[in-house]
Amino acid sequence: MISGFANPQRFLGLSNWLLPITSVLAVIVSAFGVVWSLLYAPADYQQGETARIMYIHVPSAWIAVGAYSGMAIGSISYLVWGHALGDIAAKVMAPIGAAFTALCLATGSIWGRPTWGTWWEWDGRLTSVLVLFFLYLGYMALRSALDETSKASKAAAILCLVGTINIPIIRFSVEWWNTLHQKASIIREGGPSLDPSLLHPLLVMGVAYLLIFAALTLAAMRAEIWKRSADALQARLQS
Amino acid sequence: MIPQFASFAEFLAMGGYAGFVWGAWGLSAAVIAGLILRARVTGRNQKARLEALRQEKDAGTTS
Repeated sequence: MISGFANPQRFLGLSNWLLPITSVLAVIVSAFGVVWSLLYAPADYQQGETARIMYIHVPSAWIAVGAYSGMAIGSISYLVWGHALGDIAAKVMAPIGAAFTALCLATGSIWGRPTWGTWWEWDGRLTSVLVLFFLYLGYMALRSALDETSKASKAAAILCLVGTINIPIIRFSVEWWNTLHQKASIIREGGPSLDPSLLHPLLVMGVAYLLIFAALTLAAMRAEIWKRSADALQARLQS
Repeated sequence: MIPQFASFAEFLAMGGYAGFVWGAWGLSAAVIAGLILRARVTGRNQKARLEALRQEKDAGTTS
């Protein structure tokens, strides 16, 4: 399984059945999660119905950070072992991660307006997630500015790894600069502080977002493998 | 589990925060739909391009 992810041709075979399975699961879990969080989950006793934004805001934040971590793993496997698939994974995860980071910022802003009374504040968590968004944009700009060579892939991988310093900063920002964003309420000492009636639909939405992200990544990796094969073939035919 | 809203109108109103709740959910649905569409189009295009080039190569070697 792991070696299948290191060889592009074997990856195409593996993802040929992994992608439809992931997609079908994503649809089923999403449908379940959407109905649960919009219709059956109780309104928050303080925030009322606006707390229903949580079910899309928090999963998008998980994917925003998770996609970047995935890019970092891909970049390391490319730099250390020269795995082309690591480079491909990192490359295709960037725009997907950027989109989920934008969603995290936008839904957070929409939630903040009725809850905090402001669309935006230069709070530690908000600012570090905005930095994450710019890291994604910088990574994509670097890749598109350079021709597709191993040098470009290496430069992009190094930029990605330098940016991982921001990941623990995002995690601990709510401890270090305790200004507006609430502290961790799920992965914390003593277990989640969120009531199970809200936590369970949130976790279902988290799994749904993870499956959507996995399906998008698999599909984009397949497209990138075809693109690279086509580029190589085209260069050969023209010479 | 029981639905939290007495009527469909109440569901749409979201306790007076319809614009915020539906705005955030609608935006998320639109962006994710866009990502899925983009993935499908790019995949189809690159696969077709590769197959066309392979045919071109085979035609070149046989002639």
